[in-house]
Amino acid sequence: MDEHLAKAEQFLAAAEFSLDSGMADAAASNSVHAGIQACDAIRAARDSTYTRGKNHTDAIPILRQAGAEGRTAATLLGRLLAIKSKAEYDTTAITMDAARRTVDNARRLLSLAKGVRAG
Amino acid sequence: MDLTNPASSVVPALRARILVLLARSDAGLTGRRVAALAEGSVAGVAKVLESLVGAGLVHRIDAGSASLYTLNRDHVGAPAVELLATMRAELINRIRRDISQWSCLPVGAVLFGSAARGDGADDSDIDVLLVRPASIDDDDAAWADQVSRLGSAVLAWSGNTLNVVEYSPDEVASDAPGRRAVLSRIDTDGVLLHGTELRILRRRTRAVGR
Repeated sequence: MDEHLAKAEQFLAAAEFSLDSGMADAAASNSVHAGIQACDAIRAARDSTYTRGKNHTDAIPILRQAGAEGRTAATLLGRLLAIKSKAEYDTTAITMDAARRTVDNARRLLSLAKGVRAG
Repeated sequence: MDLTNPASSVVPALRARILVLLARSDAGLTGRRVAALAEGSVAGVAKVLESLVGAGLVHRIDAGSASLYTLNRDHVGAPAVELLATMRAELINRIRRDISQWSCLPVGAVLFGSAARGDGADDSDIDVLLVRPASIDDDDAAWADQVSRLGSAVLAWSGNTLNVVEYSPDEVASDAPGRRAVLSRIDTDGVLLHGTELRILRRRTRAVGR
């Protein structure tokens, strides 16, 4: 779990730096990675045999069954993955407002993951 | 679920294709015709057809030198075969029904990509484009929750991952080249699930903005 949390923190720091530097796409992309790692941390904390699957979206129904924190995490992860999907189809640059919201969602997910670790 | 041949998640692929063909046809089909449509070898298809005739699920009628095969719709198994033939439509209907019951309805919802074209594989995503109402932000909690619940439902119904791409009405109306290309592609092969078609939405939003 700690490895996932450490990676989530790295990606979030990169997202915040990108946002402060006016690089919206990089901020959003790093936020998505941070959120995915935070969800991996939550799942690893709940299930010691957990290994990451090939599709991050499949984590959503599993997280939804993991109490109130899990449901919130599932919704936040869904938001982040929607940004990722959009970027895969649409080459239009993301707005700074959207990037800011994406970084916020990643921050909330990381905070949830730390809460789960703290027990 | 393989949306090219959804029934293959229940019975072996060739048998599934043959059963679905027969369920969709009222006229008798020759073994060669079934083989061509089911993309199987004549010998392989003949073997499956004979086993289905043996089980009474398929009728064989001699027509000159050829045999014509039809689904025996009186067979107790026939309703199950007819269900196999409509699995993709049933999945689309379930997604439609789910979206129509949302507390915050999308302005438009379109199924696109391989699921819309019916040419996906077992692990293909179910791609859905959602257009949020102008009053709903992309991080609105109630909106996000209903999208997240649909993702869980689609995974339970089909084993496929729901891949959602969201836009606001203004984004749909935008002239950015990258966006225009993707929306135009979705308009071409998309299946409308709810609300208004993208090209109409685009025109309408632009007219309001003028």
